[in-house]
Amino acid sequence: MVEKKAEGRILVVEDEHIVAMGIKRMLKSLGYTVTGVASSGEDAVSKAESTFPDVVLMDIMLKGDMDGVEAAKEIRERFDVPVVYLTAYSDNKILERAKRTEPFGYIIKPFDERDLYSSIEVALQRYRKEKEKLE
Amino acid sequence: MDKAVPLGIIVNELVSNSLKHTFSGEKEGEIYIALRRSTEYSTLQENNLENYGNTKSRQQKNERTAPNGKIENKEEKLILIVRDDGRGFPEKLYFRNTTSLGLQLVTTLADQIEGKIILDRSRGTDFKISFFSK
Repeated sequence: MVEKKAEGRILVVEDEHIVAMGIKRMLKSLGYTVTGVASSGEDAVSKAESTFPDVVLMDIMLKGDMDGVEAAKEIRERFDVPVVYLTAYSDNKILERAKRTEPFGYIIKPFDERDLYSSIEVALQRYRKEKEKLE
Repeated sequence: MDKAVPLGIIVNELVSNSLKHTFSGEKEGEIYIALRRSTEYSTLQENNLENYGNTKSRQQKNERTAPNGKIENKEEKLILIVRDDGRGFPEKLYFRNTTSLGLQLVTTLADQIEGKIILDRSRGTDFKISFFSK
């Protein structure tokens, strides 16, 4: 499937622990490094700050006061880390809010390893190019 | 619902383990499943080595801030018990670090509901999972 091992540091934000376990397993088999798994928006922000991920994979519906969209907004603004949403949620209201946080991708569950791989690669590449332009 | 679904899966996995492993070849045995209110928090602070490491972080949970800003000390604590009188949990197996998918699910889900697992192997296999109802 994927011949070359992928590279990149990924933070997984997902409040269903079994799903998080599955995503982690997929990412590892693709070659990525999982910097951490966060299960709430607050946790996501703090792990985005402390574990230096290249990309954050963000579930939108999270337990607690802060949802994935809010967490993504804060992560983008404070640490400039690109966010790829990974969610079962695809209604327009959520999508509108998500769009405003300028995500680097939007994966709808259910997904497979290839979906993850292509979205993360595109996000990483786009992020690098944007950085180059700024320099 | 947030707690019920993980608990259901936990019971399922633990009972499957009892059926698959501890009773294999036996003619009869007993599986006991219960969900109780815990009256005393300290009853679960056993000096069991296996539970060490989880104790510290959970202790603080006993005192946490409610949505209205008040510190709640007395939240309802529940204990789920799944126990059998079979041949017992293998001595060499460390339940938190195993390749068994079933037990991985149990520890992962217990974590999700912020529960604490205690395994007593003195008679058969006795799993206790304590967690806050809210």
